[in-house]
Amino acid sequence: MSGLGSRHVLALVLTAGLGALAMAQGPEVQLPPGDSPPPTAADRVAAAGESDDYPDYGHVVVLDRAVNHVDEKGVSRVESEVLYKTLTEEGCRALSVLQWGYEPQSSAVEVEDVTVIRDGKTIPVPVEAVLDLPAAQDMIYWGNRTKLLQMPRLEVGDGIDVRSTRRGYSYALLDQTQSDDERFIPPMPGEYFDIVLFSGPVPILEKRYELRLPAAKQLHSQVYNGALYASTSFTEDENVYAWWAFDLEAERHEERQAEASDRVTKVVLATVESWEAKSRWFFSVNDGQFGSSPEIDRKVVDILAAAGVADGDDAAKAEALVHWVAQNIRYSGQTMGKGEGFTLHPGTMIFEQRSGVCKDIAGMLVTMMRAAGIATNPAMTMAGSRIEEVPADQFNHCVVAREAGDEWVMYDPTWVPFNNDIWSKLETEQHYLVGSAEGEPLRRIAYSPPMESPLRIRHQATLGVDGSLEGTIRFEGRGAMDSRLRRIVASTPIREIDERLGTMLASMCERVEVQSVRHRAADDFSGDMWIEVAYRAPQLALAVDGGLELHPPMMAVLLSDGLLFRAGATKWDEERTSDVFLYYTQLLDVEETIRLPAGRAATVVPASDEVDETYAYFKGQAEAAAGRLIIRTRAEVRRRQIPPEGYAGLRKAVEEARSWGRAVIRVEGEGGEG
Amino acid sequence: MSAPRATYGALLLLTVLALAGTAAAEPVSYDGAHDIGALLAAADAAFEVEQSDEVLLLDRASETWTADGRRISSVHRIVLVRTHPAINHHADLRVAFDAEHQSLTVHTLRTWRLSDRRWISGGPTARVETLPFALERAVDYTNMREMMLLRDGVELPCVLETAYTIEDTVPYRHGLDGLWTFAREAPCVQARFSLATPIGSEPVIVASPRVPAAVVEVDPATGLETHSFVMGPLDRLPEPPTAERVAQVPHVAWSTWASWQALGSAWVERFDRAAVADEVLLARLTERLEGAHTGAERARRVAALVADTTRAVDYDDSWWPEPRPAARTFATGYGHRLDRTVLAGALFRAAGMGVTPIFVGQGFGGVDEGVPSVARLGRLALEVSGTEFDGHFDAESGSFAKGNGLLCGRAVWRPGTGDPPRVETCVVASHLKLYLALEFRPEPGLWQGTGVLKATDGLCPFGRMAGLEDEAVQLLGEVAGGLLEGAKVTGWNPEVFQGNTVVVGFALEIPVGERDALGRLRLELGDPTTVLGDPLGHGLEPSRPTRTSAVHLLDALDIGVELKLVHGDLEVVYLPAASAVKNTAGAMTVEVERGEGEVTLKRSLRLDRAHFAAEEWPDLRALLLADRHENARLVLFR
Repeated sequence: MSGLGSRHVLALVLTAGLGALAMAQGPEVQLPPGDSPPPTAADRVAAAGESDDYPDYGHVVVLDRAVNHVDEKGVSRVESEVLYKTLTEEGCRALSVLQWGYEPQSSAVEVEDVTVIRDGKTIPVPVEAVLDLPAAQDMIYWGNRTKLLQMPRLEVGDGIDVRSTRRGYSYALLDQTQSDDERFIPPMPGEYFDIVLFSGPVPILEKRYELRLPAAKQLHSQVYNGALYASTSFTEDENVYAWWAFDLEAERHEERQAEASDRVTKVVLATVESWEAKSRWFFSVNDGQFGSSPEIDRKVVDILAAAGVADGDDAAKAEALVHWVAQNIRYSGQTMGKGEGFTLHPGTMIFEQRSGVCKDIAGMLVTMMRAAGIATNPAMTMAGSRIEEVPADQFNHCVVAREAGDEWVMYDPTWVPFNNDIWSKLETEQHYLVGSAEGEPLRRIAYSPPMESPLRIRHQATLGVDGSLEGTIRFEGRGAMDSRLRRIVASTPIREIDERLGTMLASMCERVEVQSVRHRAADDFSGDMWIEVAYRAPQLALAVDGGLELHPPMMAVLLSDGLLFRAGATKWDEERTSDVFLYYTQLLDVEETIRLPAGRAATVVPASDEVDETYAYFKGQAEAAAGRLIIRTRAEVRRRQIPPEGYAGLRKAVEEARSWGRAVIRVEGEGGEG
Repeated sequence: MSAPRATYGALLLLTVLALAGTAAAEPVSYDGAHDIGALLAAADAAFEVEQSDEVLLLDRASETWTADGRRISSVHRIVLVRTHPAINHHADLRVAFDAEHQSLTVHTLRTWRLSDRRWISGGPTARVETLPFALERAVDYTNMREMMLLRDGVELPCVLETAYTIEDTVPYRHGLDGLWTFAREAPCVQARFSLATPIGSEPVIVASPRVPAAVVEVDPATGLETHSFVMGPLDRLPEPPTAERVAQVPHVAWSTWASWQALGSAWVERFDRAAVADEVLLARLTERLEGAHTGAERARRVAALVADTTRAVDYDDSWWPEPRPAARTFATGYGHRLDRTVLAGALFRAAGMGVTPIFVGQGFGGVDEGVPSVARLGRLALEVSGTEFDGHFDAESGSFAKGNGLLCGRAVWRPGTGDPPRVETCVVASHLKLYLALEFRPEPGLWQGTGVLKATDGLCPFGRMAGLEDEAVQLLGEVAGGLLEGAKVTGWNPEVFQGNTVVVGFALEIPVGERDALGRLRLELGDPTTVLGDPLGHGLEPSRPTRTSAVHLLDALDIGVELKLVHGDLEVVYLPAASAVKNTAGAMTVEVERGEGEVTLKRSLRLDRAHFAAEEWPDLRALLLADRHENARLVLFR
């Protein structure tokens, strides 16, 4: 890459904040030989490189600089400057419209100044043309808004310098009638947190984040997933913290990736004293939301009676209630105005609406469990990502905790629709924080081994002399695999269920004829899910050289269906730089028993290599028995998140599974004839 | 299927019983016009409700074209919802409207809940105005909104009622046309459609066979004449979904335009007005065309200029009757299909090429029912012609292709000519013949030889092969690779190279791959047409045993592969057996010739016509399955 070294020098001349740029505009000063003046935006654009330096990108971020002023109340005002450079026409297209999103009841964004830098000259873009519009929304309808600015026609090599100010908080909703600043006060008044990712979809040549806190406020902070430059200083009124970095690579997309916050370099910071304080706050702001009503009380009685657990223990009652809430409160969030974003909607409201986002669905369950006399509190978690030790608000999901002696038993009604668990196996090893009056520490859900999420397939079939295969396949799933099997049924229109299973089996044999499909009702939680398919596959085995040849039949199905075998159905690259994130562990236990035509025997009965790696296992084995062929396949995915150093082992197991799917099994007459 | 859905059956019975008991008094539709209990009873009588996720009890739409040129559209829908997939379809609705020119009034948004037998209406937070996702970075199109209508109180089973009206607040259209199908994705008890136009305006209205005659009412007070159609009960739309299935079901096509000529002239006038290159565009065009030596190369450069400089916005462009000027589309850096086509038209014309905008049918076959309407003409494209070439520009991909193979079998309307849409017929039948002669080379482990590709009409890859770089080698590699994985074309030469016919020879090599566990070399033959729009591929779903929608292919097809393998000392372990399947749909044959050290495999699939009724699917499917069967596609050597 050309010119990067000089850019470093230029950048390091700048110490902190926006002040340096102001200096550059002062009277011209004679500089000592070898020194350079602080770079202007035009200098930076000129030095940023060309498309040859970044062949995979249409534009780069030359500078991303933010100064965050936080006041005593915790109100944040972020002054930011982002300087882009277009490298190709694609970059011009991508930057043709600039966009800022915000939540009007808790934040505001002002576009201060936008200029195009072309051939060293600046062309101002009138910010009066910024449009303020309702945002595109799906599933969560809280009235978010978006600001858009149409840029003039950009040319390759243009710089775009954007300065804006953002006030407020990411999700605090206070009364609209309050003064403007008051609506930006965060939900924990006086406290501030932030998670700043030092990465983006395109390369960033320089990124700086500066936090200015009132002198009396203390700060927890830590850098994760890499290293950053950092400084701390103070004035009479403020403590000033800064983090910065140069030449940040763009986020690289890989299949089944962990969230960016688990992968890219980030600063996590918070002023709140501890997780216990956060827990107490969360409890206090929500504890008034769980009042019941006669209608809810009656429904609770009905649910418990219908489940036969009216006289059962708390665990049995809670299980009945979590399934009712999961099945009956659909995910679709309306706003309740004040408190939206961190306050659970009142249970009475959700009972009427029968819809909400995770916190509302969780609130409904807390309400019903408390109505049933079960000690229950709301809790927060981070679905799909890690929570770092710094007590910043790293939560994206709300769940439910039942008090059981000294322990909490966790329930997630949002993630268990059509799932026989009370807490989804897709959320194991997740951190969570229970809200309580006393204050709770950050806890973590236990690891779930593959045997807790088995998919057992029992395939009983008869091979005809013409190579046709006819039989029954029974899929049984528990844990994560229970939910996968239920999803197959629950997401399929009634009339299409045979066709759905036919499509699944078509990868084994396109001529397959589904004769019947039976299954447990997707909303019957009295046991693990099962699906049974009776089928006929004309001429599945090929008549070759006097015998019949076939491949392990179920492998074609498993390797092409991500619901049945996620790791096996994913196309993996040869190399991997980031964690693989599969959400759940899995055990695959397949036994296929194929009765052979009279007088025939399996003469070629292959076996795969046994792959037994830290994170994955695979073994396939065919076996000849009296008049039968038995094919056993076992696979394990042993962690839901697999680091890059474990990737080769995972891939080795998957490749062996694919190889096993191509293995040739041969059946011949006892005398070696067909 | 066995017991699993039984609980729903019981609940439905409860529903009907509960509603029937109160049918005379409640519930009724919001406007008092429809007895929902009676509609439920009718559903139960007409359909196997237990086998349905949902039943449309009432599906009513009305269109009004006012004397001052405004459109008023009303929708009233009552749905029995029984399963979670049905909730996903019906509970929360996304209703598009033009906030700059239209108003949206919601008359009702409510749920009749069976568990406590009451209506639950959506409150003020249940109506949320949003920007369409596709337009969130397209400033000039942000007049569009999608109003979210969120349903409260849903508990299975339940009845959902929705009614709203979208009304033009100002006249801004040039005319109106549309198509109403009575059948929907779900069975429907009663479907109603009405069209009101100013008295004496004489709209063109054509109903398909089986649609009862319209009731015509004239209201001097409003000055409107209304044609009303009622049908029901109706089965769900044919499956699997196809672009052509609308022709199979009862429908009404209508238009306020007097003729194709009138519709086309007005459209072309707007197009021509917008398709003008300004100085900025001309400068960019000049720069882009520098060094282009052929007409086709210049056309490709123009297409690339559009694709490079504007982002495609995927949103129904019929919301904008007036295209933006070409210069504005270029200046903003994005455009929907219409605007990008206008931009391309301006640039092609500025480059001295002839341009004719065309509308292309969504599926195959005819669309003209005597109604001047673009409702079944989904795709706008440009015919581009120069002194050395002709071809097509597609705004969505921003690509230019020579020849007219893309149009084969589809209805094409050329607005401004006065003609109705006509199907672009292929000459006889679309052929693709691939002849490969390969010799086994133990060192370095290759099948090496030559091939000939002969292709015509809808299977002709001329448009994708023509070019000044490696287009032909790349396409031939894909065709050969579709047949034999890993095939690499190393050279080629044309015998015939025209828009509708290509005959080319080429050289190729294929790595032999690893031996299987029995020490054998496998050659698994694929489908050479996969890269040519996959005319026999997944869209036809050969694994599906039955279907209710008709099959429309681009043309009658004749696809053949002849593979000669000089295998030398390799022992042939498996060769497809000679076979033939012949039926009403066509024929699939395999022929095999064995010689000293060589074998020749001839596989042929002939589909005798382009259109097959749903009842003919078993025969068609039999041919497709026979063609795709491993026993006709595998060769094993030892």
